[in-house]
Amino acid sequence: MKRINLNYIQIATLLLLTLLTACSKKIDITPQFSLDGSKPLTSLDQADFVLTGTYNSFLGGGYFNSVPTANTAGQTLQPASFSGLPDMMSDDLVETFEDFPNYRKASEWTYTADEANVQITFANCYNVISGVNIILRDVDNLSAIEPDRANNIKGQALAIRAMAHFDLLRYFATTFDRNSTELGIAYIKTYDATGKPSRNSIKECYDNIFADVNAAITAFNASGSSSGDVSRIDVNAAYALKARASLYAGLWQDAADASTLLIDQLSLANMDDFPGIWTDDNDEEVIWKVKFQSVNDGTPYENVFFARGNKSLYRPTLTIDALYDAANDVRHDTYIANVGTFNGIGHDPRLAVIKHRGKSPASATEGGGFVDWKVFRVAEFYLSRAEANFQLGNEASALADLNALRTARIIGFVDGTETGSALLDAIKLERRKELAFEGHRFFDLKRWDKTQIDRCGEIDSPSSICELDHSSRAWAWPIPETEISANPNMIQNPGY
Amino acid sequence: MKKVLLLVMLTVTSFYLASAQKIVSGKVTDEKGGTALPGVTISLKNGKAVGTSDAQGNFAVSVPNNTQAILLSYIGYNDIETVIGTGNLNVTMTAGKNRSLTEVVITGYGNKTKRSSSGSIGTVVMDDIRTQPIASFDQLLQGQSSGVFVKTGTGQPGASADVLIRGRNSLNGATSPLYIVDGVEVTAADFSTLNQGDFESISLLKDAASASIYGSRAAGGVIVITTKKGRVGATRFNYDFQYGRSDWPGSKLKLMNSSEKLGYELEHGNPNGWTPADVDSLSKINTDWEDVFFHTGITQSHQLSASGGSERTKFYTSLAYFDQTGIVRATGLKRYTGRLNIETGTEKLKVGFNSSFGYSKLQNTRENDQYVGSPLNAILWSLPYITPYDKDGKYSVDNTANAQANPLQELLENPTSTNQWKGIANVFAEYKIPFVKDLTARTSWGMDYTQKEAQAFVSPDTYASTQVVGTTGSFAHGFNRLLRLTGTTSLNYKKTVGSHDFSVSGYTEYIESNYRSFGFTGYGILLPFQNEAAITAGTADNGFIPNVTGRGTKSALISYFAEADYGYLNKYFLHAGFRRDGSSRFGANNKYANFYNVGAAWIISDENFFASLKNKINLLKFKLSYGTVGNQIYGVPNFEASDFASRPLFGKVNYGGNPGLSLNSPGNPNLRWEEKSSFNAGLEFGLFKNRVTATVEYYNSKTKDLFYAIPLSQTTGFTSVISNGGTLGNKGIELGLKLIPLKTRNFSWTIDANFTYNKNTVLALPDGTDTVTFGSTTLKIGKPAQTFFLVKYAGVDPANGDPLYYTKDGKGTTNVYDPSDRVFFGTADAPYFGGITNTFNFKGIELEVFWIYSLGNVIYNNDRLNVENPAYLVSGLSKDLLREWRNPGDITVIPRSSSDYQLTNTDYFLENGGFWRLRNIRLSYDIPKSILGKSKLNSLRVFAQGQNLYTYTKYRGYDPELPIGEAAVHQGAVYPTLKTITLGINIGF
Repeated sequence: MKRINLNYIQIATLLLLTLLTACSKKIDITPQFSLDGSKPLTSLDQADFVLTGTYNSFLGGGYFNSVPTANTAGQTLQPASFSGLPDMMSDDLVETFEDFPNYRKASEWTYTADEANVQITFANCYNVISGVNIILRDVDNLSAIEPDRANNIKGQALAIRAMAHFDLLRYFATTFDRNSTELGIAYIKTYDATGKPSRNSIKECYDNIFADVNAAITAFNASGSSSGDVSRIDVNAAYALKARASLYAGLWQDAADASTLLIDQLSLANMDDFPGIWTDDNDEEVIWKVKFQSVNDGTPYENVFFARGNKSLYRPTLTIDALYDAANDVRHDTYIANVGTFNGIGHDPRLAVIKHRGKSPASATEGGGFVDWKVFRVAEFYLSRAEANFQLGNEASALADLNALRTARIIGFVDGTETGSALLDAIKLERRKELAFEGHRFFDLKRWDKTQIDRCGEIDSPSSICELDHSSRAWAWPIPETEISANPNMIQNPGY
Repeated sequence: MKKVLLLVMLTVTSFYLASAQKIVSGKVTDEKGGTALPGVTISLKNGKAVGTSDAQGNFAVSVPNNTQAILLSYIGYNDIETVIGTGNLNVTMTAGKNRSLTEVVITGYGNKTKRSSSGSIGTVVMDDIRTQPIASFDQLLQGQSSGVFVKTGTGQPGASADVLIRGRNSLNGATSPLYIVDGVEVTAADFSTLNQGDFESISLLKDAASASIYGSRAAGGVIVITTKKGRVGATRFNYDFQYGRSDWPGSKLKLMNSSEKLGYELEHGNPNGWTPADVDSLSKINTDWEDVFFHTGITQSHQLSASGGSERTKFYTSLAYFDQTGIVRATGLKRYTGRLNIETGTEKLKVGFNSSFGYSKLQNTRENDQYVGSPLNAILWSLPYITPYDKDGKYSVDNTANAQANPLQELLENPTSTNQWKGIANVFAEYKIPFVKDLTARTSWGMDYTQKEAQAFVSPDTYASTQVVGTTGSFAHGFNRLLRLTGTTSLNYKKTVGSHDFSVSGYTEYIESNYRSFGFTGYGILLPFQNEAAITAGTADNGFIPNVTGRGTKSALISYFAEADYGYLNKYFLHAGFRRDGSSRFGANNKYANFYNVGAAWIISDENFFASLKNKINLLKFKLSYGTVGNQIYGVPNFEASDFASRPLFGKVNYGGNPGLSLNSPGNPNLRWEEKSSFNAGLEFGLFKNRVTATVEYYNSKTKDLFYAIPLSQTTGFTSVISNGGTLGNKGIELGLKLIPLKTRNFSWTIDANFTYNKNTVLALPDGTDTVTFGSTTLKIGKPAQTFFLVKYAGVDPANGDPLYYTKDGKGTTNVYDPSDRVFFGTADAPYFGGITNTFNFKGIELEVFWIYSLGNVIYNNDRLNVENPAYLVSGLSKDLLREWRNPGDITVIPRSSSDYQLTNTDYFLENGGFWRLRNIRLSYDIPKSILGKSKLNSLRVFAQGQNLYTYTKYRGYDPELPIGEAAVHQGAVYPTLKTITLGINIGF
């Protein structure tokens, strides 16, 4: 009897064991809705998908997005760091009582190292950079079959890398001098999830930015074709970036040369077409724009004017409103509207920035808010070339570009005849008027020797701090506290 | 190795022969009525059941020759011990709940007598609490057992609770316990479609030694639920009915009325440009938005159940309906559930089937956020001089600069609802293997299937509509399902030889979880429907292109485990267990993990040297245990980001109409389990014939290799990477006390109380870090997790109205906010908590008064910030701002409104979160048998009960119990806990 007992137990145990071995394979599971990123990219198609994914990062709140997303954990702020925020920090916009003070620390320049908007911007830019560094890590190994396509992808990736670093530099550098040995930002050229880099000098940052831009131009030229798709970076966008960075660096000849290449290819819009640029009815003047196609993508400028809810959170200052010849300047009514009394009660005039209120709105207070963000358009380079030529002593060329732009915008404009400092002032004034509400003003003031910002003449604002001094620490953002604590090699900016 | 060992043990033990037996027979009756009691369990003193009484109350059981006494136990009756004499025994049992002699605790995969258990296991008898009118049973656990902290900070019908057993063991992983219903793992916090009326008992496995057998899922403790089984005898029916009303509890946060608010606005720049005439007319309006939103909710429930069976086949079945409307308009839960439990078989082979199915429909509103479109925020933020409706009876429009969405319109016009279907079922077969006495094989296969269908309608006229594609309303319809299979196969061997009791079990288990979802949102709500028919077909021109989403994930766990118990003289007990888990969630290097546990218990009061004390101290037991458990759930379960957290994953994104891939996380191939080791020591004693029974326990646990988002340099493109690092400690003391201060023939008073002190400490952080700060809270070695880290507010400078802040050393003050002045404050997790129940019974009239308390924590009151920040001038404001600094010399804590407002990151909004709450009070009357007399009724009980009727707290908000979620900072949009009064009746026939 006993022998039989044992057999039963042994059979049962054996059965158990068999069951176990059969099951151990069941815990090898592959994700079905995501791509496992443990291995290098295996095709140009994948590289292209990752590139598209990187463009998507420009829709992040730390780049061009402005819509706070409500979720169960509260709200994630979307500062629109390179669209709305630089204008809130300038003398072109002022906070109104209609605002939730989510950006007041930025617009009053009271940010500290723990400011969320600063951290979001910092992280977003480097997120863009990590995406293109993955592509640049693998693309050369994938180029054998379609070298032209590989070069095109590489050109875009290099230009994006230069662009994101340059944008970081605009906020975090204490100066824009080409050869400054002061700290810029860490320039990251390889994807490394464990890196703890230190900050490069401003000079080194420029060295790398221009190297990447030039390499991008080389790659685009090698690829032989231009996409013609304004939603993606092409060789023109690379030149545009080169022109902009050169202007910041004071490399006047480079700025002028790169601008010339663009001006030769793209012309200024006529007055009838000009408003259509801003409602995406046409792509006149546009070199590169970031696509916002539905509310799901977000919106670029709604933390300034929320047309859907008719809230003018930051309104144009009375100063900038008065700069335009409202009757004849096509820009005035395209950019600014008196959106009237608000549901019957409010202030008169109640101004709003309507420039980015949405695609094809029927009236000033309509628009879904989603509209493409024009990163580069050719008008900027008329002004950049004018400024560069002025600095090079070519006043006649400078005036010619300035007049060309003014003639294109103002009905019945009679060519100006400014010279000397009056000409420079006129170029700066026109730059302010032309590029208003496109995320330039704060950086231009910083570039122009940190010209004091003053909006104290504005009324009806909850904001009590209205001046930014030449000597303020706030011209350069603090390195986020979270970065300082995670990366001991990172040095804080002076004054924070 | 282990399998070989098991084989050897089985081989050895099977050599023992059965000892000589004798037959004991008798009849068991009810003391009062003299009616026969069928189905009474007869067991030996070591807890081993030897038989049950038949339909006439007769029993005849075979017991070892040396047996001197048997124990009889029956649900609803006090245990009784009877000495075996000669001839038939006549045993009478009295109604009551004293189960101290034979109480069996469910230890998870098995059960044992409470006496022999060395672990720390709390038992909740469902009959005591199931009448509380709450849809999610986890809320009922509040205050029921020491060591179990239950947070129920919402009154939304059907909402689940946050349950923390013996402290917070994880920072980024799951902290909730593992829930097991009849052997099947069920999803935590998903209980609104389960009927707790079907539950018989709930065991709370608190220490690692008890929970260890669940291995990598058990770090948060285990809650084991068994449902009602059929009972031998004629079929009995029960009908339970309850009806009542709920109201909102009130708030200490007071807002400005119209004239105060208008005065304040005029004083601060008159942002709306009010004329004196406007002020005059608007002052006369005083809308109380709380009155607008809150109404009386109605609760009703019905349950009909039947139970019965023969010696061979037993069944239990029930149907129930629960309907609760919330105190916030347009919220509520309707639930329909059914259950069938059936068991049949022979002496050798037993098969059973337990199943429950349910459907619920939940209408809810947004909670716990800071979104302006959330109606529950709008209660505070709306202006008192705006009415919800205009003269024509239409929704009014807020014409001021505030432009707050009409919250009533948002709530009533944008309905959301969730339909949930849930089925939990398992089948099992148990086979007594022939030839080997006492060896049983068992296999059990079960599933937990949950299917949700959610609909959200956004009416084109509402504020929410301005946020959607095309700004013309939307209709979203989503569907998801989760299927989890649990299969367990085991061999169990139980044997008594003389004074030695052995039991050995070996198991294998496979668990697989499969999740899928899809949904769409359509736009352009033009037609007058609230469903798919209203959607306008999308074109590039109209922009109404619908959004389609879907995702899925899968995980699996494979396990081998064994446990063994040994008892000697029914006085000394040893226990050991081992489990090996393999999980799909981790990288190849760390796929498997081992867990083990050991325990011992000693009944000191049965020693000879104790004999002199025995008439005072009936029971004195000492127990010790040590063991390890794990946690495998990182982040939010049922997302690939959690199930595949060890890998870098490229997720789908879109740009410019093209699909793209974006790397969401850097991945960590070395990711492994969180591992908790824990020590437990306890004393159990019974004094003065068990008039006083008490348990005192001490525990000390450490959880290492915590899931931890190690901050990365953001230059990598990521802010952090999930990793393992850091150690959390929890140690504490638990007291459980049951007192019978008075007991006479007609009157009794019972006190049932528990107390827990838990000290949570961060013991180590990764990379030698000492302090990590997250917003307003911090992790600091030596401090509890969720410790607040804020600048200490020093009040207002009377000279100029500037806010003042203490400097880091606490000595000086400054008017410049500097985050480097932050200091440590209290923690968000309450260290002291418990419950006290007083029960008075007079001739069947019973008054039960149940208090809960939770003390020693702080709450960051963000609701106050949102109505006290003067920057929110145009929306509703707190009365406190009327006391703001205006003139030099003013003494106040509210700074001048024009100051640089930096109070957000100070302790100004930190409040004492402690509270005492009269959780439940119930007056009931059991109509005596003598009155029921010859009617067909077996039992009849009527009761009235009140829930949350009184709360003592200093917290200035709706509820000191914050909404559930990990966040230490309460966000906003609070759905207050319901104050409910119900009347009910239970009929047995």
